[in-house]
Formats: sequence, structure tokens, C-alpha cells
Amino acid sequence: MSGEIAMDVEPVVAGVPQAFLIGAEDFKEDQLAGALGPDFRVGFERAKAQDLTFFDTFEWGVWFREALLYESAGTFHLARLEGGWIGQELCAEEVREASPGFVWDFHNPCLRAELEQPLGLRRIVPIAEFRIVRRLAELSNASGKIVCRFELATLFPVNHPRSPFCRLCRILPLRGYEDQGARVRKALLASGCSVFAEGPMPSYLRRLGNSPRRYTIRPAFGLTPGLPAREAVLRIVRRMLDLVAENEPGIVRDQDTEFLHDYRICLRKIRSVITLIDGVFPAETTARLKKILSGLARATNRLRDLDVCLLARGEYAGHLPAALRPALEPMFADFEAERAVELAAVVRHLKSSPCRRRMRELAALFDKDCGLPPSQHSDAAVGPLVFKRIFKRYRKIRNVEGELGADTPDEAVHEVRIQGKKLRYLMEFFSELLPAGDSAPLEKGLRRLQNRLGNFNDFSVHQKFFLEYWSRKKDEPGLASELPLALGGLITALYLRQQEQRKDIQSALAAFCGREVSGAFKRTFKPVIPPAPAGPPAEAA
Amino acid sequence: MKIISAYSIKGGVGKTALAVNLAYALRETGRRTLLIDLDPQGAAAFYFRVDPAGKFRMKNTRSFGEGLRRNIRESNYPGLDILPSNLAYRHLDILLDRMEKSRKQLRRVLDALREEYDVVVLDCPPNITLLSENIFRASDLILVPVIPTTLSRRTFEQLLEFFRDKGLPEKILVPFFSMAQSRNSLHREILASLPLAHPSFLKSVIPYSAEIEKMGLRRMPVLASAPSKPSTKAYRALCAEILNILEP
Repeated sequence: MSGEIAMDVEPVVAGVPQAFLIGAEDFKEDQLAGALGPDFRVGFERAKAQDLTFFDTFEWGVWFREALLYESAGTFHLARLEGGWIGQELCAEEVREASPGFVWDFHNPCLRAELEQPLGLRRIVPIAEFRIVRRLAELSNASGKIVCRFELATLFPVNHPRSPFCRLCRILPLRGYEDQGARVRKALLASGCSVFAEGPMPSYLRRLGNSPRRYTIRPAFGLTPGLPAREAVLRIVRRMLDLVAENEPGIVRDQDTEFLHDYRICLRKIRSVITLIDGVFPAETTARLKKILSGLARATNRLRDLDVCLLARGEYAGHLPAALRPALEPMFADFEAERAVELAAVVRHLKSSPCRRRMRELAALFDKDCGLPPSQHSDAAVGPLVFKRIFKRYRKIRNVEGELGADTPDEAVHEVRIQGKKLRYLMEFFSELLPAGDSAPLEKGLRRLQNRLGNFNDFSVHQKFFLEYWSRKKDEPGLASELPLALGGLITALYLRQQEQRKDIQSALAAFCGREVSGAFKRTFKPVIPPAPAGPPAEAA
Repeated sequence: MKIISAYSIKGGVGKTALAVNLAYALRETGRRTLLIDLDPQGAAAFYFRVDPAGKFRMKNTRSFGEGLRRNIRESNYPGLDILPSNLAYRHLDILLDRMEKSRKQLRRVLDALREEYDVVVLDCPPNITLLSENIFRASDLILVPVIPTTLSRRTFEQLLEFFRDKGLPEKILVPFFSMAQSRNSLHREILASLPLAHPSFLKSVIPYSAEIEKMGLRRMPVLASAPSKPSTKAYRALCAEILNILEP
């Protein structure tokens, strides 16, 4: 398409960019004026060239929120993505010392606020580099009123500054002048322009073979209630295994902590689904799979613990009075150093022959033609089987409701969390089979309970984490005297927060096990036992 | 969304010049601004080169608010839109009269625009009718241009009296001097004395200016055509003063 100019055309609607492909090598000002006729005056601005590097996260978080983040001449710009065009600028920030990687590296409060959701904990990485030459024009009527704006964009690959990849134009009718926009569109089409389906950005990315794609660790699996259970589980596991593989390179590059987070979740989900829907594989296969999956996850446990701790360092410091906060810094420095060592170990593990072999073994086991013999539930319809499991899991949670109190050991509370997690995974994996309207409030109640149980567990784990650190450090010579003070304060604060969660857990659990939710679970998931077939009619005496 | 009205019982006091330049100054501060030209003469829209629509487009609209939105025109300046005057506004009084609680309907109608705009500026017709009463009840602030003459003083005090009679909140009435000439001794005297009697007068004074007179020729706000002239600075100062009142 080199050497052509394109323009976007959909029905002309205010605010919706239009793009058209223009056949000519270049589009001269008088050509546009000629195409439009005497009713319009065309005022072109001077062409502006910009060398851009466009950034986004692994998840394309900025793009899918209809925005574009790019760096040009030492400044980061956040602009609206208008139908594939670089639109109105929202905010900008000059690069200071180092190029920002995470949302917290930006200084401009506007950028931070706008990027908080799209980035989350993800790092931004360069996606594409190109030169864009933009020429704007205002089209006015006889009264000098601008009725339409016009943009001509030429994109050059950064290594071919003389060979344009594409020339596109778009028309932007002003609000209230949509009819004039339609006239401009008609004139452009009559002068040899043709409709082009997308704006310059998606077009260029497609050429690079790097089109935006949605990423989720909660994909749909195309399940139906009548599908044999083994086939359903295989579909889930294969997709999850793909996600495991998709996250490995990000861990190796240490791009951001979310890769490891998602990698571990996917492994855990595979393990859960084969355990929760037991009987779809022979028992010995399930046991072997569990062993492999546990081993893979275990190799990353310490790295994840360190990630969690380092991500929450600001929060931890917030638990302490300002005077004690600096005392934690040497500890975080220790954790950072340990993380570097641990990361290297995880990378070695991921690249090691045993790990690759296990991954191949998993892939082979879950292959379409895995050749496994039939098992207890392998051919059972997945719908009824899953509903039965969901109801069973819910009853298990309900049975422990009354036992939870102020003195319940942490381990018992943790056990409720595990049961809740199993139920959540079941409902999540098989969400396509659940009646949407009926299950949504149940999922909401479960999420509320799980959030509280999760907080409780985090506070408990973090206390142990810091106690363990102290037991390692306490005998080291030259230890700062403020460290035990700060650690003591932090552990106490975490303990108090943990105790606060208990009441919340009890109320969330009571609501989740209450009559309303319980009735809904029963109505939706309790297996219906068909009535016993009637016996043969008694013969007349 | 704040609603600011430019209002005077008397014509030719710089009301439309205020509405046009204030709307432009508000847009300069980054506020999404809509200027509604309620004066059937349509001068505000004329200054922005917006031709009056042949017909007020209300066909197939579910509400009057939706009808207003359909008739909005984007100005040449991003962030500033115009709802042009139209002969149909002559019938606005009749329309409001038919509605229940007709003295408060305008606010409800304009509320339909609150997601889109931070500020609405109303350029009001120079009379006291049912529409005016609606404007008084809908506005957060009513800016009253007062030429420093005896007659204009009397007109402002008549408006104050009307507010008292109707139980309207006087505090939203904000007068300021318009078309003031420092070489005119009567102007100088009133500029000094009137704020003593009415402390709500703004400190900003809009001078009599050939630039403002030329707005009709240039068909653009003085803030756009003469960005560094004293009248431009005066409008910007007045805008800042108003924002201080609305957003202390």
C-alpha cells in the first residue's frame, strides 16, 4: 500500500474519525480545494513531523482503554485513540532521568491518574517506532465558520524515512455540521479517494505483525452442558497451559511481576480443575499431574513472596510512624538482593531440561489424543457433574460457618479460604454453563467473602515472613537498633489488621451461608433426583 | 455544571460582548463551555460566525433537553460550543408557560447538559418575562453590565427591586461596570460611588473600546482577535473574579 493515501469512512457522525485511502502520490492543497468546490475554503497548517515510540503493556492496557502512550523528543504523551488515529492529547511529561517503566515512575499527577487503571502493576514497553507527518486543515464555509477539520497523515517506518508505509486522511466534522462533513466525504470519494477500514495506528501495527490482542487469564472455553467431562477439562487445561507458556518469557525478561503472578495462577488452576472434577482421568494420571504442577509452582514460591513484599513496601511503611520508616529500608534492600538471586534461580529452572521435560510431559498428557483409558467420569456430561460439585463445595463451606469465632486458629480460617477458592474456581471455569442471572449474586457474595479471607491470610503470611526475617538477622553484628523496633511495630500492626478482618469474615460468611444465598445455591445447583420409576401395575386379583 | 447569565433589562450595555468574551475566557481555562444565545437578535452566535438555523430542530426528540443538544454547534475554538438563537426561542416563553412549575423548568432542561459541559453561559434577552424568571432561578450567577450613567444605575436598582419582590436570592446578582470611559467625569464619579452603595460590584471594569465595537466586523471575540488589548485583559480578569466567586 506504499505510496497510497487512505481515509476512514463510516457514516459521518460527530466525533467519529473518518479515514480514506487517497490514490495519488501526494495530496496537494489545491487538489483538496478543487475536490470540495467553491463552497469551502481550505486552510492548511504547516506539516509537522514527529518521530514516535509507542508504548503499551503486555496486556495492551492503554490501547484497549482507547488511549495511546507515546514518547517523542524526550516527552511522554498520553492521547486519545480516535478510531485508530492519534487524537486529543490528555497529558504529557518530559522524561527526567530514566524512561518511566511503571505508573509510579511518572511524576505528572494527570498521567498517573489516567494510567493507573490501564497499567496496574504492568511495565510499559516500546511497541513500535515510526515517523508520522501530519498536516491539518480547516474547512470553512462562506461565513468563515469552520465546519470540518481534515487530517492528512503519512507514516514512515523508522528505518525507511523515504518510503511511506501509508498515507491516510480523515475528516472530522464539527458538532452541528455533520451534513457538511458528509459533503466533504462525498467530494473526496468523487475525487478518487477510497474507503479505508482502519486508522494509521492499527494499520501499521498489523504490518509489523504486532496487532493488539486481548489477554485474560479468565478465557472462555466454549463449554456446553452436554460435553463429556474429560473433553471439557482438557479444553480448560490446554488453554491454561498456553497461558503458562505465554507468561514464561516475561518472567525470564523480568518485565514485571504480573507474569509470575499469572503463571502461578494458571498452574494452580490446572491443578484445581483436575482435582475438583476428579474421576475424569485415571487416578494415577491425576496424581502424576498434581506432582508435576506442584513442583513447577514450588520452584517460584520464594520469588513470589519477595515480589508481594516489595510491591507492598509503601503500604508497610504506612503502618509505622514516620521516624521508624527509614529503619525498614535495609530490610527491603536485603529483599531486593535476595530477589535478584531468586529470579536468576527461577530463570535457570525455567530453562532447565527437567522443567522443559515436565512441560512437554504435561502437553503430551493433555493432548487431544492423550490415549488415556476411560475413567469414572470421563464420559459424563460436564454440566450436571459440575453443578453437583459446586453444590457439594458450597455445603462444605456452610458446614463450617458456625465454627468460626474470635478464637478460631488461623489455620482453620485459612481452610475456609481454600474451600472458598475451590468453589470460586469451579464457578469461574464453568461460568459458561451457569445461568447468568442466577449465579451473578452468588459470585458477588463469594467474592466478598474471599476478599476478606484473602486479606486475613495475607496479614498472617506477612507476619510470618517478617518474623522469619528477624530470626535470620537478629544475631548479625552491626544491626541497626531501630530495626527490631520497626519490625515489632510492623508485625503488631499487621496482627491488629488481621484481627479486624475476623469480624468482617464472620459477617460475610454469615451472609454467604444465609437463607437467601443458600436457597439460591439449592435452586441453581442441587442435583434433581429423578423420581423412581413406577413399578408394573399390580395384576387384578 | 455552573450556569452564568449575562443579563440586563436595558439593551446596548455590553451584555452580548460579555457573554461572548466570558465564554471564550472560560474555555481558555480548560472548562468545557456552552454559550446559549437566548436573545432573538442572535448577536452572540453572529460573533462566532454561526448562522442561525433555518428551523429549530426538534423533530422526533423525546425531550426539550434533547432538542437543545441537537441544535448545539461547535465553535471555531475547541472546547466552546454555541446554541444559536433562533426564532423558535420567541416561543420559549409560551413553551415554558405550558409546563408545570414553569418558573423552574429551565434549570431542569439545562441539567440534561451537565455531563457535557462545566459551564453554561446564557446571553439573555433584555426584558423581564417568564423566560427571564426562569433564567433567574436557573442561574448560579447573574452578571449585570452597568454603564456608569444615572440611567443604568436606575435600571440596576429596578432589577434589585424585582428580585426582592419575587423573593429571588439577591446574592446571585453580580453587577460590573461596562463601557466605562475614564475621561468622562460622570463615569468617574459613578465608578467611585456606586460600589459603595452596592458592594457586590466586581472590581473588574470593562472599558469602552473600539476593539469591542469591531467584534461585529471581525466576527470573533476580542480575546481571539486582540489577545493583548486592555479590553481583553479586563475580560480575563473578570472571568478570574467570577471563578473565585463560583469556586472559592
